[in-house]
Amino acid sequence: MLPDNRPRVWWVPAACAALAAALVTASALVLTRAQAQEPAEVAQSDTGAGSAPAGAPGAQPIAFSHARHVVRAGIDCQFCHAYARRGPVAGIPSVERCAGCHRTILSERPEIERVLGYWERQEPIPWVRVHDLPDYVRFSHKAHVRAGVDCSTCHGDVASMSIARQAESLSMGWCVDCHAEREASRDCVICHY
Amino acid sequence: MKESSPPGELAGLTETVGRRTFLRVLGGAGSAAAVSACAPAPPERIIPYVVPPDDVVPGVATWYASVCGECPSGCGTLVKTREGRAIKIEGNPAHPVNRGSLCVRGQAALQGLYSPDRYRGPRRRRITHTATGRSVLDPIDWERGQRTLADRLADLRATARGDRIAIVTPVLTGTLDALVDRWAAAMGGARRLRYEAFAYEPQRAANRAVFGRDGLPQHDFGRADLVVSFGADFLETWLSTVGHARDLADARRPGNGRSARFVHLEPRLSLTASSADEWIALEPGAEGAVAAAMVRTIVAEGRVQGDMLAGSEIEQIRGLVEAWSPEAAAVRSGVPAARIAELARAFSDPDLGPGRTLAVGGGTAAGGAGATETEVAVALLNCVAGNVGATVRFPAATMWDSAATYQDMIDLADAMRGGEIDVLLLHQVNPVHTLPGAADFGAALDAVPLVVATAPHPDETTARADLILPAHTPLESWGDHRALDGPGGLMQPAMRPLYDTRHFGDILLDTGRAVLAAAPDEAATASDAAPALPDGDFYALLRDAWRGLQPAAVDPAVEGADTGATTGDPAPTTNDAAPSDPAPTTNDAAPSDPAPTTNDAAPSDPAPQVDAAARRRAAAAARRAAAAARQAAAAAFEAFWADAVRQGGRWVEEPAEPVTLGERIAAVDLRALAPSADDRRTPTLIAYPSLHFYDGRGANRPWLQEIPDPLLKTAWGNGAEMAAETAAAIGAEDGQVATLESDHGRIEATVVLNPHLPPGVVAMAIGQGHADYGRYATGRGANPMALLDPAPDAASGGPRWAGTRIDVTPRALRRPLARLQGTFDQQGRELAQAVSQAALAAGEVHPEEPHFSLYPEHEHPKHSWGMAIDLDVCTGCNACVAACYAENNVPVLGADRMVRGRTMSWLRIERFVEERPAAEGGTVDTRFLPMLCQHCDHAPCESVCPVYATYHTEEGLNAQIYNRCVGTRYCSNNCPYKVRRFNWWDPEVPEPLNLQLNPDVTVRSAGVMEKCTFCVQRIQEGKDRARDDDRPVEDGDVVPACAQTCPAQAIVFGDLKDPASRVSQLSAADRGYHALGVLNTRPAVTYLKKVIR
Repeated sequence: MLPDNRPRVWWVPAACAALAAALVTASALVLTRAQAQEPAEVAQSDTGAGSAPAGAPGAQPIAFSHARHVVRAGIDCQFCHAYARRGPVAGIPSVERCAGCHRTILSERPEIERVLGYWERQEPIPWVRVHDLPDYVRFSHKAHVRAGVDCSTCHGDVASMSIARQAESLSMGWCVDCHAEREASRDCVICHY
Repeated sequence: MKESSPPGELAGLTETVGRRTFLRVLGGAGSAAAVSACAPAPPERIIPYVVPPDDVVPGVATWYASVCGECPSGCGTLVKTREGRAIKIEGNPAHPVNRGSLCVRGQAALQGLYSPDRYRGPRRRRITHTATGRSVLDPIDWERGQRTLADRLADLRATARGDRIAIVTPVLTGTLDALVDRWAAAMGGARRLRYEAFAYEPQRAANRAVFGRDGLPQHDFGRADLVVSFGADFLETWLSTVGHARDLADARRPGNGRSARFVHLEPRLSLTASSADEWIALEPGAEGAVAAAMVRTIVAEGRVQGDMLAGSEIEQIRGLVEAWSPEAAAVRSGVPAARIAELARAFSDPDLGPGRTLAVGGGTAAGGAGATETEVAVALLNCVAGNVGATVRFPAATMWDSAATYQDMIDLADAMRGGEIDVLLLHQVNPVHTLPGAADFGAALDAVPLVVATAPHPDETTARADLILPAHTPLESWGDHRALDGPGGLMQPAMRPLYDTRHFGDILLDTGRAVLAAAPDEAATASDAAPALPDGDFYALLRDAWRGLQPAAVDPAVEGADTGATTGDPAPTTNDAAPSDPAPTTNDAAPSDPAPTTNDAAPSDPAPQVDAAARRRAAAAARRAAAAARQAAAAAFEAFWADAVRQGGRWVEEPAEPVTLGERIAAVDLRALAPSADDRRTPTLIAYPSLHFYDGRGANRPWLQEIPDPLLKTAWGNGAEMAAETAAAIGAEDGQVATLESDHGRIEATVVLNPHLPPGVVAMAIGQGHADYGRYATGRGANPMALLDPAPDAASGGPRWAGTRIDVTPRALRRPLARLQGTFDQQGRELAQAVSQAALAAGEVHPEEPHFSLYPEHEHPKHSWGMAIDLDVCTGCNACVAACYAENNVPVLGADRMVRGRTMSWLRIERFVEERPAAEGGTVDTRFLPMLCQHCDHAPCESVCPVYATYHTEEGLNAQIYNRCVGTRYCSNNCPYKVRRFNWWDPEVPEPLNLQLNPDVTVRSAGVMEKCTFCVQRIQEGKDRARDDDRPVEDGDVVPACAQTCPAQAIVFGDLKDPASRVSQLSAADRGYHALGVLNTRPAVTYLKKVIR
């Protein structure tokens, strides 16, 4: 069945790929570590919204402050992240949700005007992702909300953050520690399939 | 390898890599890695909705009930969508046709929607080189495209040449069918054909002759205790295959208290024959003789059942079949006379009573000489066994009543060639491929000045079309599929159209209205009642049609709508004459006059004597009452409509109409069943309908190409099948290319040895050999239609699939097909086991001996997932395999890799053939063994994984963690079931096929092992649902994709910890065994032995 022009040295392409993969992985690792430290530094200068220089990595299109919404306005997390109890994804509020309040509240502020600009143009706001799990991890907000895990357990004290940043490592060891503590399942297939 | 090379190309690995090349590649890769390390990765964005849709929760599936559009059966579907994209199709459990299951083609319908070759908008052909006829398709906009068509139509209609317009559609039902009729009439009497390649002409002709009835009856396989099929491939393509499979399985499932027998007569061992308790191989074309001999035996022995036939009619039948004694039939067919007589007696067993058996005829038996007579004999057989009105029921009307015959298509082609057709509109039909090549429909198309095609995919017919107005695929369309005078399935779009396509109904409505607007008066004079086309779009028309299907008004509010409807309703939907009218003529009842009628609210005003003020008050009150009633009626309809859309339709039992022997039976002459006297220039070609490709329409779905044929286990092509002695006679070997030539055409095909064919017969599956049907179909295999005799069957006008004499000449060239199974012999391993019915009844079963094990036992504290697969009802139909591909993002490899023996299928159906001793009736016993990961308790794969990527979960699953896997492949080496698949390549998923991928399942990359997970994502989902409801997981909460779609319900999944679960009970059944149980792997999959009846 096999054709005669099969590669004689079958392992060579595989070895090429393996070596290349090793190089790429190593460099990617270095890069990831560097990036992981970055937001922490930015977050130290927690002086108010919009302090991150525009164009810097992690800069959001709107200088949104969780602190103002949660602490000052007293809005519940799930008012905006409305899917957290219903599905795997917590959801970023729709532009309609932002505009719903801000059409009347503080609509004169320049940053709010930018939000309303998105609404008027019917454009989505291209938020920058802060919490990103690898694609081979299946995480469900719903299961954690149902189990009574507080948002801040994984997301840190977002309520006091002017600029959202990743507070926890979100590494597998970190997940598993919590699962062990709460006697939740530690089967691999809970998250990996 | 990831560039634009088509799937299956293996460019990179076919060269020998030298040391220098190796170093060069290494250097390149290293510097590439270094460069990429310098630039930070761009931040990932989260794009929220501007306005969130109501019915979408991101990450949670939304399901839409609809109707499958892959064949005329009209199975109900539930389409799973995620974030607005259809990702999986399942059967609708509420639908009476398929009851929750789908076939392999239905599962693959997604790939029709996401075909990378689809037309992305309307196109017009521009000739670039007149001499060679080269042309290109220019994109145009819909307005111009439709105007091109409408202008030409208006011109013809205005000059009373409407008969020079022709429209060819598939067999449609319901609202769209009625609309096409109205459109054709409005165009001044356009010719209309409902074309299906498989239109069952001989059976329809036989029903006309025997019962005086057009169309096809309903066959109740669930009621019959003995089914005798004369070539009818009723588990593959013949009518409603999913329903047949379910009915047959239920009628013989051990433990159901019934044990229906099934005997199949056909020269070739088809998939349907493989499921038979007895396959009787006979001479090609002799099925009718056997049926006639059975009728004769029943009549001669006075065993006529039931009271359908009067004495004189029995005598008439006796006269018809007089020539076919069992002995004569034995000579013709090669089946022993005693066997025929015995079968006849079993078929008319008075102990069973009348109407407890069923004979069906079709497939290749109804495709050769004497096809109609064969079907007549089968119909008579049902008559004398008392089955008509019981297992064979004629409803008032069926969709096949008006289906075009092959003869009609030949006539159309002749008219086209004769210059009688100026505009030809083809809706999703591909006659250039599906008609016999010698009928030369392609050349006929060239003779038509304007050919318009509405197919969503490019095919051989659109390649010759002047204008392409691509219609939506069924998954993007509104529509209905119903009997002529009742409700039925309601087709709902599962997602927004992917491309710039339009609904076919809207194309007709827009062009039709434009034509009518161009010359309204002349048409009105041409025919006094020119049926105008309705206002609004097709959706409005559909709703209007369903208004009439609302159940008879029980509440007075709906009753009052009748008067309300005449008062010039300002609602956007058109006023229909009879919203609460239960009469069936819904479409015709819609108003032909779109202008609002005058406001004569109270025609039944009862009080002529009262004064004017009182009258006004009364009129106002009546208006208010009418308005209220109208509102109530509208609300009632909205509720009915919403419910019908949600359910996927509304169904009523269609009453069977009594039928009697027709008068035309006198004209039947069964002597045509004798062998024709033509020269025995061998071999004979039998072109048979293909399970995967139907008439060819499925060939551009990569799953259908990749999943091996259930019988030959070949993939990505078809071959010229012949027995070894036939091949030896012409000097050909398996895998060798041969030239097949008839008086009508010539093709090249790979010789495939098939031991279950009579000598001198070459069999070929219909549906491959496409010249122009997208990247997956074009150039695969060969099309046997090119060889067929184009002359239609004289009695029925049907095509003659079988009986064309061909010459086969081997060429000095090998082009083997991909074959996924090396042998059909079990080699004594007892993988697929069987038990005789007698032994089962006597309790002579041999349970497996418990083995001692050195390993500690696993503990399963909560669940222990397991599966039971009943080999007795499995028909090997591949539906589960396709469902697995769809659910689990199983990669498609392509032909070249499969020829090298690669496959990625997590679930394969192994086929084993046991020769049966002559004492048991000879022939063979086919066993299908669905083979998937057995999720062993003592899994050999787990202990050899150096990185714990595969391990045993506490719920009894054999898990495979992709991100841990480093690709040693030790697990695969150690797996005795060979169900693990290694990704040698990254999956190639050309856009927009990637939109189909299940977001709940990782798309595996090169270098990792993968295998069946028991659909762990569905287990998670089932547990999640139970936890939402705050209850334990119940039996039926978790159904893997394979079990969900199985037409025969052969696969049962559940929790083995729950002793009441179905899977626990089945696993403990007498017939239960484990594959390779001697290895003591303790699988979670229990097979139930096939029962030999």
